[in-house]
Amino acid sequence: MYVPTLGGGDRPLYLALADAIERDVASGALPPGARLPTHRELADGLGLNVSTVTRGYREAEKRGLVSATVGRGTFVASDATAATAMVAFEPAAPGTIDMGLASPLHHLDPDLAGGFRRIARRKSPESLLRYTDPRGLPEHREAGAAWAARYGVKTNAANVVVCAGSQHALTCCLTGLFRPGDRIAADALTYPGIKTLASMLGIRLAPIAMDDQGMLPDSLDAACRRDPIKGVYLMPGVQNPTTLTMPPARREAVAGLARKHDLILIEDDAYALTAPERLPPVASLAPERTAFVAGLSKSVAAGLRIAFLAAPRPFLKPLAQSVLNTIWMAPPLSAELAAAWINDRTADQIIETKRAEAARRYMLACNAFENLRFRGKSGSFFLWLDLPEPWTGQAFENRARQRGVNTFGAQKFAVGETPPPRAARISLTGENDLERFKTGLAILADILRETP
Amino acid sequence: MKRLSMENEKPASPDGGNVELGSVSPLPHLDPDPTTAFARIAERGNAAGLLRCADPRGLPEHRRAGAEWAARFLLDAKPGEVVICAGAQHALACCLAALSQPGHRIAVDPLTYPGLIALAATFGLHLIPVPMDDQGMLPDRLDALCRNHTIHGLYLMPGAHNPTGVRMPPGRREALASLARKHDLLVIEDDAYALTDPDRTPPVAALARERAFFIAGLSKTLAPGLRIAYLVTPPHQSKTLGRSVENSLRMTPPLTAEIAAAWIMDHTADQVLQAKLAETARRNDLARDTLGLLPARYRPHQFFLWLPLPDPWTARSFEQAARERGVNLLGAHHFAPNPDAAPAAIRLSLTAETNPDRLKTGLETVAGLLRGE
Repeated sequence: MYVPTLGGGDRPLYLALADAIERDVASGALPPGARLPTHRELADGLGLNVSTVTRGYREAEKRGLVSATVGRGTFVASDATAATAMVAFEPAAPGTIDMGLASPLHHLDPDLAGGFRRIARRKSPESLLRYTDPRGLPEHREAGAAWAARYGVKTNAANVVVCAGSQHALTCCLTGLFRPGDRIAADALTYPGIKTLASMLGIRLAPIAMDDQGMLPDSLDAACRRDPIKGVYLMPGVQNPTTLTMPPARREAVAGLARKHDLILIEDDAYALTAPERLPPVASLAPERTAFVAGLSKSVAAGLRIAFLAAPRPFLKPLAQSVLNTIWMAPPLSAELAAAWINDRTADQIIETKRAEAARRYMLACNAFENLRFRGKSGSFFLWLDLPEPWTGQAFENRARQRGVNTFGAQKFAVGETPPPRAARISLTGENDLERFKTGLAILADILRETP
Repeated sequence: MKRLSMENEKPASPDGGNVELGSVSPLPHLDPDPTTAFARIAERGNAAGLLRCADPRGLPEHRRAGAEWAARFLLDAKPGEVVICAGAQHALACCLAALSQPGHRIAVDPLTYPGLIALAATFGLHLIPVPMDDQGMLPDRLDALCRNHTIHGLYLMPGAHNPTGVRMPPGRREALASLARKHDLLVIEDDAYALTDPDRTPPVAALARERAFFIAGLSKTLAPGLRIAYLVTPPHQSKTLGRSVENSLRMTPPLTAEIAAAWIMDHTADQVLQAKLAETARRNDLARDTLGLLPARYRPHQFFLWLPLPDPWTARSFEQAARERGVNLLGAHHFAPNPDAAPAAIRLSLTAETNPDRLKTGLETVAGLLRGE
């Protein structure tokens, strides 16, 4: 039985336990998927109260180290060894080629100076510095409705709440529409930001198996019948990390299950605007229960930190309250810039420019990887690369880093104890410089000609 | 049941409508003209950098400005200890998200900031009130509480307690800092109005750096719409809070952080603060004369006043009566973790009404109600 060594010092015992688990995960003594002792077993083994072990395990869960399922036990999470941060605090070793982060082609961002000149001409610019309605100024919510329409979501200003970016929109959904302890269904491989957010808020993600059309309805149905699941998180247009597009019949099925099990749907399709085809969003199939995140980060300007949440009436008050509770309101200045760029169509031009650049890079990747299997589409910002045996995502990531390339193995995206497939997400947009990008592709292709 | 305890904290309506003595919007008409700030960014060489996401704690030059601002609160912070948050409310949310678990107990004053009450509900935290006197939270009572229960944290506003306005003198600050050490409490110091005291003393955080998280806000000085506050963490803990910022909104927008930093470093913020303190002096005089305030309650630069109500008024009934007579104000029940235990008292904002005549009318209405008219 695993018995951690709790360090000395005067930290509370439950924190010492979580620290010990963190150390042992980092060193490999506790591998992903390993089963931890039951609360009672560990309490007896260490001479602690069961409640101390419970708190320690809960802290470890919050840190993303373990995942617990009632009736099954506590396991080391598949992605426990992955950095929990989405962005490294320290810059990568100088010269590292970034093929990990799906950065949004910053060198093609809109001209900020021009944006400011435009908003300076607005009447009463000082109103951009005052406290305002947490839902956002009316003209900004209008722009938000227009932006949601780019995604195929028909809504109006009254149903829009302005948030400080897509991640913040997710924070508002999770804090406004759910409670600590609630369960949300998600693809078995999903956006790391929802995982860290959920664990920070004490919300559990229930992994749902996927096939090549996305989330499997039977698996979702079974999960909802087995456990009290309250919501489902979806990226149907360009699923992160697999790039899968959920076809219409599958979207209908998922919407039908959401109705059957009374689930709240969170639809977050950050990469949809540069994808080649646009299908009706799940929000249009189940508008009464879907909160749609209409972001700008991946298509227009990430640093602006503005996104619009389009939601049905019953969700608006709790979402506005969440905005209030987390930041009071999204900065009207940023919202004004976003609205200006949406209204004068700068945003659409930028989308087109970035889409064309992403398409160029996709062609280059297709050439570099011509003997390899991967999923992707022209215009998407990343590929999902299948790794030949015996490569694992983690091993591939490690080897790539040794050769000066940053990339993300499948384990970073795995939810709970989902065993990560042999795959990696290759970002096509992490490097602004095309030559460095090509070099990165060549190195990665070369690695897969080695045996690990 | 989720409380919409901040429902009244809405901006004043400038043309007609009720006189706003509820929210403490901080003299917005004295804020600097943003067009110069916009022009400066427009002319800046690498403006594009302001649209990128980087270290979630903030860009280095912005964190330096944050350390500079923390010094106004008499807290000596290194830029490495500063995390840029999207306003004090966000800083508070990040602290609670990073440092607490559902079920944790936080010691608070019997009346406290509504934003904390709302977040406690979101995060499943218990707010445990500790009695206070006219110097703030009572150390003996905090000690007794901690000896009998597991308390995880302490939330304080020592410079200007919201809503009572009580200022905590240095001796009391030291006593609480030492108790925090004795009982291993996390300290969250959120002193939005501290800069209204020209005789301010070092914060509790300065006495207990190893365990205190200090929120150096900007909103009550200028431009609350920017949504910028500087969270000062204990040494070596900024990464943990950086992760909270990242999880909640990826990064505080560098754009707004840039404007805030520029106004701090070129002393615009200091000038605006001085101008607002001068204006609040006039308004406190007006309040003293209109309400007939006792000297103990009068202080030159308060942004809000705390008034106990005579029998048989309750906080709720007075708030209702005032609203019917055209004045918005906040009853004590908005500030009480248990609203039914709230005292009969109200908080009056002196700074939300930009028009001093409307302020006077509002204060006269309140005075009338207090006299029983």
